[in-house]
Amino acid sequence: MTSPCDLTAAALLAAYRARQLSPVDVVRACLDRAAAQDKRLNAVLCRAGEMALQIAQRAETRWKDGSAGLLEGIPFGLKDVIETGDMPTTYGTKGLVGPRRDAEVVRRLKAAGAIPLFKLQTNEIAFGAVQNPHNGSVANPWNAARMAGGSSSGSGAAVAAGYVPLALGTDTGGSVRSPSAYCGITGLKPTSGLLPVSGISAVAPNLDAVGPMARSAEDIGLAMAALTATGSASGSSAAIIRTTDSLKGIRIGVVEGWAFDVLEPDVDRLSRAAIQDLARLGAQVSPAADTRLDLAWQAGWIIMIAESSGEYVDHLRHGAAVDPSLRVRLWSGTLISSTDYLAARRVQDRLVAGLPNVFAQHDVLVLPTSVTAAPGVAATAVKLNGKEYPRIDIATRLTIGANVLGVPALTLPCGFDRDGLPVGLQFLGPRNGEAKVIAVAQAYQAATDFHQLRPAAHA
Amino acid sequence: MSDPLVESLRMLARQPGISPLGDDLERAAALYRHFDGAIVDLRKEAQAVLEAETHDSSRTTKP
Repeated sequence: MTSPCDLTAAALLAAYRARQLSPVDVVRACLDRAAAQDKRLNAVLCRAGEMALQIAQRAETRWKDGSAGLLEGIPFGLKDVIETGDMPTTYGTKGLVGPRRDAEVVRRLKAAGAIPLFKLQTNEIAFGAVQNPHNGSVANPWNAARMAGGSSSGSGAAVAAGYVPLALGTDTGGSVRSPSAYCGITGLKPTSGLLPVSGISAVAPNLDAVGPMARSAEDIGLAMAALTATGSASGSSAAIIRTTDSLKGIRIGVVEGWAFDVLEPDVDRLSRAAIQDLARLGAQVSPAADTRLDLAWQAGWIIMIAESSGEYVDHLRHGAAVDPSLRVRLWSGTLISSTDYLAARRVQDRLVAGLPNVFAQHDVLVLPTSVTAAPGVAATAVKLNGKEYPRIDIATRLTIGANVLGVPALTLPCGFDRDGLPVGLQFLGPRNGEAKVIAVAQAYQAATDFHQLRPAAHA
Repeated sequence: MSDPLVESLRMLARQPGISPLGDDLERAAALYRHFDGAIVDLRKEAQAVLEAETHDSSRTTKP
């Protein structure tokens, strides 16, 4: 029998509605799963425990009396840079303690009936190395010797391992999508500014976004419906994103060139096979108009390193308590001149101005999410086709473009490499085109089962 | 000869309470140089954008 921990949020809601499961039992099962798995994975920093069980009891009552919200009784996890009233926020570092109040996105999920259950690991202030010097590395549920990705490392591992069906991460250069791809789950970086970032620590405000991570595109749609509901009511009246099983007539542009120039052979093979599947499902697949993601990557790095340094240079006062690679990034950012920063912003503006032309020709764009499947936990470089690439050159290569352009970007699993590790495929849509990317992703998942596979549980 | 980038960083490091550790500054200068090519490319692209805007009479020019 399938454990409730392995069900999607949509399946849990259906089971609550049919009185086959209760939120109390599901919260207990999630707590038990994390207790059994987390010595190995190290994804959890704090758990809500008794308080979550009390909220689950209230959720059970609401299902009985017909007042259940859109996500009533769905447990969720939060990256430790998202502030919460019920659990402490430490930003994955020492010397910073967040206020005890809910970020707006937390308030919205709770208003829809969802239950905050875990605070989850992050790279230090969401910008340091994947090996957090204070809390340790998060292991990939598919292979504990591999990294879970970053910076939303705990969210990726917790969703993949069944601690929660839904988690929130943040994404400045790919930090929702990279761990989602490495851990074999579905993750969305929404349009810039669509979801409020109040109560979430910034890395680079120009690029930052908060987004949902789940085990299906359908669940991402449910989460977005709750997250975009602005009222204080349950959120049940929010428009759920309608999806389609067919891709007939959908125009998909393949981002060739930059996106396929540097790839692990298995990632290349699986991505191309998935794109062929999209065509078989009826999509009109053609080479994408020139998106200049290469230039977006360059601009993104300069903006990210300059803005993060501006945000956190004072953090260097904590000296040796700060991750050495984070210290180096912060120092390095201070060297970016204002004229070079403005050059990067000017280039960003030009690329954004070209988006209407790109999306006049394509409904969505498609490209791999990451250059490789999950690297080793301590990897600082990756060898591809006989050439060694520093992680810093490839970690954001295929993801930061969406942050620079401000467009929604969704990753989903499109296969497994020869080592049994998941590989991610990414869809980019026009600004505020979340419904399009979610619909395409759901159609792909209706025809494939990669998103339904779960890593083996280890006691 | 001293590295001008490292020297620039040392100036900033004179702020009270902020002290570089170990080879932080040398590594930061190396990281900056790693993105030298990107910065040069962006300057050229930005210049091209500016020149295109100069030819667009609908835009307000700078004083």
